Amino acid sequence: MKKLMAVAVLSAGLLLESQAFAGLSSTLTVQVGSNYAAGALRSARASADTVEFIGCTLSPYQSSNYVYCQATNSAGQSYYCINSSAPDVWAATLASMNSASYLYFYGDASHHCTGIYIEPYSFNM
Amino acid sequence: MSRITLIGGALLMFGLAGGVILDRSALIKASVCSTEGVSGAMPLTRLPATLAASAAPDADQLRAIIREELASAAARTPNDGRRASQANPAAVNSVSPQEQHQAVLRAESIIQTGQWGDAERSEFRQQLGLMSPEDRERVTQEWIQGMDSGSIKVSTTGPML
Repeated sequence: MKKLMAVAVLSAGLLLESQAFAGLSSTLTVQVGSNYAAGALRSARASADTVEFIGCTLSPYQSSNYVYCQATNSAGQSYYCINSSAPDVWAATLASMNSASYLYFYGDASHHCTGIYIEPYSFNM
Repeated sequence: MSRITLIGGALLMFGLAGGVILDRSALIKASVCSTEGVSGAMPLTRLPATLAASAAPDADQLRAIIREELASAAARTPNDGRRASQANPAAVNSVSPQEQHQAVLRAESIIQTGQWGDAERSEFRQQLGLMSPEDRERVTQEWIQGMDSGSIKVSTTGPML
């Protein structure tokens, strides 16, 4: 009887847990092009391979924001770009990133970042 | 932001200047009434020239007052960061020119080794932080050229920079 109770409680717990994580979920992998990269932080981190990642580094150096962004897809292809005098709004955008963020950045052929944007949606979590 | 402040300041000064002139006008009228014993407003043309000139809310005078106040207000505003940094660049950049130069040399020597692991990345980033924005941009371009040409062999585990 006690065993039956324990199994019932465990089953209920598992059911509730699966319901807690219900909802639309994104499984987008990191995309890399010749002058852009995009991907969700969470799905990149959860990818089965050991190479996929995406992110940006923000260094508020003296009187300027130094931004470096890089992404590598599952095939090991990378795109990176740098903006050594990024506007403050970029810094604010990057500061607002979290694990639910989908990050997209792009630049020119000489790896100069010309734009970034993020999408914090629940399905990226 | 500064435009809004200026417009707000202009409106405020307009109101203040108008108020001052109206107050002066009222005082003059009051003094005229008391000294001559005349009730009601006396035509300003009967006042002494200096009094009449200062009492009349002339539009040109008002504009001159506003211009003067805006000019003095603008002269008082260099408290924002940008102006302060222009006035005293040393406050923003505390790294000496020698240290900046050394940082450039060190960063370039790292690039020239052709090896790019986590240790090189870390030190390169530290050196970037010591440089002027112009040097930082130039050294970054050197690094990018090294990456593009393949002269730098990358072995970082995460971001290259």
